[in-house]
Amino acid sequence: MTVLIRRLAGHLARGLVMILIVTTVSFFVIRSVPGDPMAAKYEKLVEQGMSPEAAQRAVEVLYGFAPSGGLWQQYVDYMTGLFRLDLGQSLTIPGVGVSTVLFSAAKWTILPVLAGTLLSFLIGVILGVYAAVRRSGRLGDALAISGSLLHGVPQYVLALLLMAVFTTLIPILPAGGTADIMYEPGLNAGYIGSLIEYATLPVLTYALASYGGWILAMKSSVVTVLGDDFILAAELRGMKRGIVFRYIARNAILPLFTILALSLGTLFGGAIFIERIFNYPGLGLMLIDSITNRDYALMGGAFLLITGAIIVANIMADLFYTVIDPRVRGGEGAP
Amino acid sequence: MPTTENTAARNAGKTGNAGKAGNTANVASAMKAPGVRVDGLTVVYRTPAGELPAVRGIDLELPAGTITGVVGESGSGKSTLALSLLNAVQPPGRISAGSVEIDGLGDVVKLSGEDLRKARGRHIGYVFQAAQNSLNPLKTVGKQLLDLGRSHEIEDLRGLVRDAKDLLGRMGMDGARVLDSHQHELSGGMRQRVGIMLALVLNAHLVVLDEPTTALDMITQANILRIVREVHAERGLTTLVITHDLGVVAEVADRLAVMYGGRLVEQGPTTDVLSAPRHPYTQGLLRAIPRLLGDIGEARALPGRPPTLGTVPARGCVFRERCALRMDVCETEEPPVVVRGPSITACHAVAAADAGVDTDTTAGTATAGADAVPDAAHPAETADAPESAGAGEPAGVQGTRGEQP
Amino acid sequence: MTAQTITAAGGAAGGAGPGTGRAALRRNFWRGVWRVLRRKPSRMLGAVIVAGFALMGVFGPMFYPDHLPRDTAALYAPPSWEHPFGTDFEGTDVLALLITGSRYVLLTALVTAVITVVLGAAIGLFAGFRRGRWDTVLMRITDMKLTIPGLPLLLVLSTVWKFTSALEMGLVLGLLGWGGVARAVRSQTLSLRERGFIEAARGLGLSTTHIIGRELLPSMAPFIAMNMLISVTGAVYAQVGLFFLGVLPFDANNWGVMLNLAVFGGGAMSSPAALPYLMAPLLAILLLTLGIVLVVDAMDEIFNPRLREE
Repeated sequence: MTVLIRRLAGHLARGLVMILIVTTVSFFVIRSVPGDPMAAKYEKLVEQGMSPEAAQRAVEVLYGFAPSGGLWQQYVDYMTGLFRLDLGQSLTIPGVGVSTVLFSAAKWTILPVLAGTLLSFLIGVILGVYAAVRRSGRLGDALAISGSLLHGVPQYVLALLLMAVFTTLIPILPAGGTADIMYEPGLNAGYIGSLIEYATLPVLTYALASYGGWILAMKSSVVTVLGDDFILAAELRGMKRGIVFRYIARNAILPLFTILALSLGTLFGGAIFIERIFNYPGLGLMLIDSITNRDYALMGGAFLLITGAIIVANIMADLFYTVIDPRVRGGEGAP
Repeated sequence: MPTTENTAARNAGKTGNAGKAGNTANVASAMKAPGVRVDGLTVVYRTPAGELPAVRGIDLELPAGTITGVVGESGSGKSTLALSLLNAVQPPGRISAGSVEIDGLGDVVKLSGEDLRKARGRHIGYVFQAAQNSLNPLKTVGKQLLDLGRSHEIEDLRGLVRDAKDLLGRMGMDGARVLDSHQHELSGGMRQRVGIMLALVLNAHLVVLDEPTTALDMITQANILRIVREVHAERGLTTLVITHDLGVVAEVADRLAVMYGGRLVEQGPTTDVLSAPRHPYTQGLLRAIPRLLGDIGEARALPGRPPTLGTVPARGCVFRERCALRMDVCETEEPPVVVRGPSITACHAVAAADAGVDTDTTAGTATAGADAVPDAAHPAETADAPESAGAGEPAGVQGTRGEQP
Repeated sequence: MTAQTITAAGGAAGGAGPGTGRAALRRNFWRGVWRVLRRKPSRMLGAVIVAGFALMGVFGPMFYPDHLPRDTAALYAPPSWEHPFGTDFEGTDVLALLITGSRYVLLTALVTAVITVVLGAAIGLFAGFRRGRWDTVLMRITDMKLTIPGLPLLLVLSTVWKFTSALEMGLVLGLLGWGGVARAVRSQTLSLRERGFIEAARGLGLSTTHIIGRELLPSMAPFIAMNMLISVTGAVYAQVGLFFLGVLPFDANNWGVMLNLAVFGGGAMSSPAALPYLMAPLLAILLLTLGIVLVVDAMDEIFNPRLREE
């Protein structure tokens, strides 16, 4: 238990430092944009006939911080706001806090990413075991090759291919959005069915993009465990095949759980392409829209949230490992 | 030489006692301890250069209720031999010829599937080298014990746990605590005792220990060997100990078999083999051991290197490259089997010496003896060299000792 | 048949030179390469694909005028002899777009790979060689770099930086991508250290530059070369992806721009007629990936003695 707490504390400290660095960097990157966007906006408003004070206030509202004051003052204001989860105001959706916009977008990223990853994890792990056991056979070989090919192909290529096939050549699935607008959002069968229909392609892309990695990882993990002494020992003790199989499976899958947690984090970053292609209103699409609209507050927030997700995933992966592996749990090298 | 003699004598005394203790215990459980007869066992490994034999033409008998030690350098095929007793040679290896008859089981080589699985653990216990992790790192010892019980359809799992605790207690451990531990919480010596417990808890009466003391410190080694001896006697087992350490064999084994390059070159009662080795390889091995109370200069390493799977000669004697008593015939002919009392040696030089010294030994086959006669001059020549001065002497000692029983 | 001529030529060239040990070594190396390529035809294919792309990037654009001709009579024309991949929304030949666009893509990838590998290897070697405080600091930085998601960071950077030239783009991608190589090189250095490599060289009184340049680097060269190829694919994906998302101004023609226009501008998704326009850059990316994967596989066998069969 103490090991767990010590690890958690260390990770949290490191995660906080990371978040601090990321926000600082993104703050200064955004502020260094050539042709200060706030000054430009201010001038534009004044030109439109607004009084300087009113224009100043409007810009302040739009960008979520006072453009006046030194860069350092702005930075301090932004960081103190961060601790209150106040990331400023969105430019595109006036009057709504960036955090609110982000959290409403997050669910459209989290659910498909989770569904796609878990799906591919299950299938990939099972096929990976098969590829390892039958590694000299033809089907095992084919599985491994399919794995490395899919693993190498970038997500957007997969997404575009799927889209071309299922929306253009054989138009059976919708091309974009989250649900058909003819259904009332809520807990009714039509809406939920439509949600699933619209989520099929994004989820399938997430699944296909990560499936190759799972096959390869599981295969190599199983091959390693098969060479371990304790598996031979179990066989020489006359253990049943089923029990030996469980020994292999549990030991082989352990390192994969860590990768699973990590990949959930990185998929948040990868969601950008898939959400853009399928026009799915998650964090990734939000980030792109904020960039095209030069909505800097929203952009900084989205970037922060994506990075934060990865840091949290890292911490989770390590803690999870600590919980399920007795060797780590008890502290390394006890006797 | 005097130091060697003394140590050997001391060892002989010890093993003699142990052997006696073992025999008395065996009277009670003589029904259980199975005898094992290995006959013409050959194991080949598939390599890019074709199938190469790791073990060839082994004939070995483990008399019921005895401890047999198999000694050899790494790569001599001793571990392959041990695995063959369970018909568990791992691919790319396979048993290509021969049989392993175990009383109550039949020929293990012919067993397969469920029959083979049930024989393992139930009839034959296998103890791994201590440094190897023979336990599932994710499960407690107790849970693995229950897995073992379920695998062998043990109804009374409580009884099994009780037996395991008894056994662990017998070996000087806190049974309940050990069963509740993971592998990483146990020291090397503790793991080894757990391994022995798992090999015995199903009442197997044939136990194979593969390098049981390698990678353990001296005190733990001594403890494990004492436990092996005691448990062997108490439970009435037939035990095979595989090791590269002659000291281990001297400590526990009744009989000793020496392997080299996949062949059995010499076997016999431990006392006889250690005090009067006949095969030049065994002699070299004994000479290579430095004595605690002696000049390190007295220890002489064998020249050359042990053969590997690819470099073992396909024909003739496998030891000839490093042998001081090498003759022309060693290049082409398989060494004849020389039987003298309870001891067996496979060597041309020994056969030739026997043919010259006394005639009552059956020197393998008549032809082997005849072949050896023309070359009888060679061992005499080599014997002049100072290093092989001992070659003639042990034969003499052997002669006198052989008559004792 | 070509195979034989090449070996013959190679043999002649090798035989013509003075028979120094180094030349013989090189000749043996190329023979080994040749053997590995010949044993699996797929690897030969990989080498051919990669060479083909390199030639396309260097010489391809020379065959086309700066402004590609437009055939306004044939918008989204289907594939034909004249236009193997059809035409785009303006009637420009898709194959021409693909070839002229390849230079930017491949040049960026090359620059990225060189920067990634040079920076990564230098930092990894330094950290692994020095160990101690330097190692800790450098690896912390590397960890942080690896944590920050590359693509979102690129997107944020794209608001500041316009990446107009391929060199600029390659520079940014390279500066963002060295983390993985640094980690791998460091662990290789440490493992060489563990084997007593460095201590032995020190014991012989060799200078640090000599140890790094003559002992460490050569033993890691194959590994570094493979990483370079892998980072080429990474760079291609990243920059094509960036242009595809449409956050960068379309100054030059490249595959990412083609994809973007096909998907979001040209409506390739709504009419099957426009599909070839979308498929052409996708196929180019897949083919390049395949080629590089096959070459990496071959290199693995050439340099990894365990896999080599004699």
